[in-house]
Formats: sequence, C-alpha cells, structure tokens
Amino acid sequence: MSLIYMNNAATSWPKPPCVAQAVEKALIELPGAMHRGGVEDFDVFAAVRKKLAPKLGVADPDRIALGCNATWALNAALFGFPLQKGDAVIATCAEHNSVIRPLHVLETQKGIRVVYVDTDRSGRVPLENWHQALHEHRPRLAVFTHASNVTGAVNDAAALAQAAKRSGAAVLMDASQTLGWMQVDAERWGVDMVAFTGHKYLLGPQGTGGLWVREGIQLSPHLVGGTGIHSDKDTMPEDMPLRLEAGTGNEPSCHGLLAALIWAEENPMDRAACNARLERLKRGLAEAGAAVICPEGPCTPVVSFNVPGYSPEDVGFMLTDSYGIVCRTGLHCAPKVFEGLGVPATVRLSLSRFTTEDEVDEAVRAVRDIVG
Amino acid sequence: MKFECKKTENCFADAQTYEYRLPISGEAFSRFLSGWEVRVNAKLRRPVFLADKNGVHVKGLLAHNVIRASFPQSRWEAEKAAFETWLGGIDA
Repeated sequence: MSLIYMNNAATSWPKPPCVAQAVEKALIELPGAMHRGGVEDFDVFAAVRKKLAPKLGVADPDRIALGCNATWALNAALFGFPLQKGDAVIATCAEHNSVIRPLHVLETQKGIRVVYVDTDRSGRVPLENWHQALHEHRPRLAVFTHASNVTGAVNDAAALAQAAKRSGAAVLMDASQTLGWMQVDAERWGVDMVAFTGHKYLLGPQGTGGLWVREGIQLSPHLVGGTGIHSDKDTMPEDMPLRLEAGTGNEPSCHGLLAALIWAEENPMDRAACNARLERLKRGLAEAGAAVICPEGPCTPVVSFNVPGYSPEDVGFMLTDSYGIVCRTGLHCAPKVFEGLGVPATVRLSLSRFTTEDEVDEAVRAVRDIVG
Repeated sequence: MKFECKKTENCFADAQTYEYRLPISGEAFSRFLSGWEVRVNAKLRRPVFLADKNGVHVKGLLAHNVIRASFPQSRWEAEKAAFETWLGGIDA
C-alpha cells in the first residue's frame, strides 16, 4: 500500500533530493571545524544564517543563533530573558508545549506570573483579548505563535507585537509553523525574538532550528560550554550568535538545511495552487460529513476535523492503517487551544507544497468511506 | 494464545494504548469478542473492526494480526491485566 504523507506540520516530507545529498556529502567530507575561519573558509552556519535573514525579515544574520530545533530556541529565549520574580508573561492558548512547559517551570520555580490569553473557535487570538491582557497584567514578555499548529490560523503578528511593545513588553514569536510557508517580517512587525525550526516548511532535516534576537535584547545563555573562541574565559562570549551557541553545531544537518534554502530560492512555491489544494481538502471533508475547523483569513496548510460517531484516534487509525494516509490525532502538543475550539481533540491533516490534488481527493474519499 | 505487547505513544490526554501482535488475524480474533460491542467497517479499503467493553477499546484491521487496545486511565493497569489474561486464555 502506498503512503500519502499528510503530517507536514510535524515534520515535512518529502524533502528536495538535494537535502539528503548535502547531508551525506557533509558526513563524508572533513568537518568544517578543521579550519579556523578566514576568507577562503566555507562556514555552513554563516551561510545558513545569511539565507535565513531575508526569510525572517531581519537585517543582521549574526543575530540568528542556530540550534537543534524550535524547542531549543524557545527555551533559550524564555529561560534567557531577564525576568524577575513577580514579572508577568502573557502567551496565547494556541501555544505548543515547547512554550507551555518552559513557562510552567518559570511559574513554579521562579515565581513568574504566567497568563494565557484565550483563543477563539479558529485557534486565533482575538486582538481585544490580547489588548485586555496587556492592559491588565503589564507583562515583561509577550509570547505568541505565529500560527496555530492545530488549525493553521495565522495570527496578525504585526498587530500583536506592536500592541505588546506599546505596553512595554518584549515580544517572542514562535514561527515554527510559518517560516518557509510564508514571509516573516520580524523587524518591521516589531517582534524582538523569533524561534523557528528547519524541519517543517523550510524543508530541512530534523535537528535544525534557531532563534533570532533583536539587537539590544541581551539573553543570558541557557546552555553554556565550548565555543571554539575565547577559550581562556569562564563565561560565554558576549557576541551573538556564539553567546547562545555552546557546543559543536549540527554541521551535516545544516548543510542539508542550506541545500533546502537554496532549492526553495530556485523553486518558488506556487502559493495559489497550494492554497487551492488546501481549500479543496477543507471543502471535500466538510461535504463528506466531517466537522471541519475552517478559520477565516490567512492559514497554513493545516486542517483539523472530527468525524461524528468516531473518536479522533479511531479516525486516525482508519486513515493510516486502512488507507495509508499519514495524519496526526489528539492534542497535537497544544492542549490549551481546545477549550476555545470547543472539541476535546482532532484529526489533523497537514499538506506541503508537494501534496498533489490526487492525494487530497484520496483523503476526502477515505473520510467519506469512514463517515459511511 | 501467545502474543507480543508494546506500548504505543500518542498525545491524547488519557492515552494508555498498547499494541498486541497475535498469532491470528484480526478477523479471526474478532470472532472471540462475544459480549463486546463490535463494529465492523467492511467498506474501507482495508476493513477494520472496533470493539468496546467496560471502557476498554480494541481495534484492528481484519486482515492483519496486530490489534490496538486502549484502557481507561483510572484503572488501566487492572483492565490491561484482565485483558491480557483473557487474551492469553483464548484457544486459537
């Protein structure tokens, strides 16, 4: 049975063939660290930063620290930001556990007040809720996901960031679900830190990700260790990105990410066609009898739904085991968003630029069969 | 009947789900489910069965020898032990 992969919001697949080739080549060749810099040295980390900067909408690539995933980046931001006991942090109910769990540690171990702002039936945070929380709690830090990983609803990042800035908060945005799918414009929007991963819509390998930090925001390194420079000092360097990059980097995977970034530049995504397939899937599922969450406005290629009479887990089982359609079921590591959605859990199908219309139609047919 | 068991991971709030590899197909296994509420969906590409009893939920493909059982969180250990005792006692 052939597989139809619709779990791209977790990890994108397939990757462009050049990604695996670049990883393999990097593993076969001598490691880059045998050189110590210089004009003729190829620094894959610097090359990745340079390619990422325009996608993030930032001017200085050296403000991008590279790490192993978005969770690493969010931990670096949340534990590194200079919060004091009694300070407030606000976040949206659409956050992933990679935000919720670090915030729980800050709340229980450091006396930080954590406030979650309700999201609506689409998984988006209404601006009035956000404004009210900012006014009421005067947070030092405001955290929001650019898009819900459960519903695909994209938040108005500029409006959320600017409102937070006006109230005196620094802004951390989780772009795990958007970077590579849509343009991020961090500096123009007024965001101070952006966490991202390489293995979703950037089409890179697992084990890549990073954190952009605006100049003027000084994070205390959450992870400390060797940097290859200033080895005589007991403390991490002050300069970005090394300040946040302790230890040997994931060089082979960064070669893969670089290959993906170059490939994406050379092969621009047909956004209209991708959105048409997304809408075809939503419409088809609804016509088949599924209860589909259909946010208005901009969305990532994610569809959450339920089938009356079956648990999401059973629907996921039937899709995967009976039809070979790889999906995700349950809470999707974002448990707080479900109260606003009004359902306990969902089945999630997430597309990529490689998903075909035939695959969409096959998923609709499968759900139609399940509905009966 | 002998079987292999392995926990499966998912992110449901109350997940206690295990897979069992059986020496018989799901279709043959489903014949032993007297007293269970059994639903067979034969229209699917690979037909499935779903069965419920006392909060224990079992499902599988009719043509495959791996089934999946979910146990109620509040008493999952006792229900799992009882299920496995029953499973082991099936004379297949």
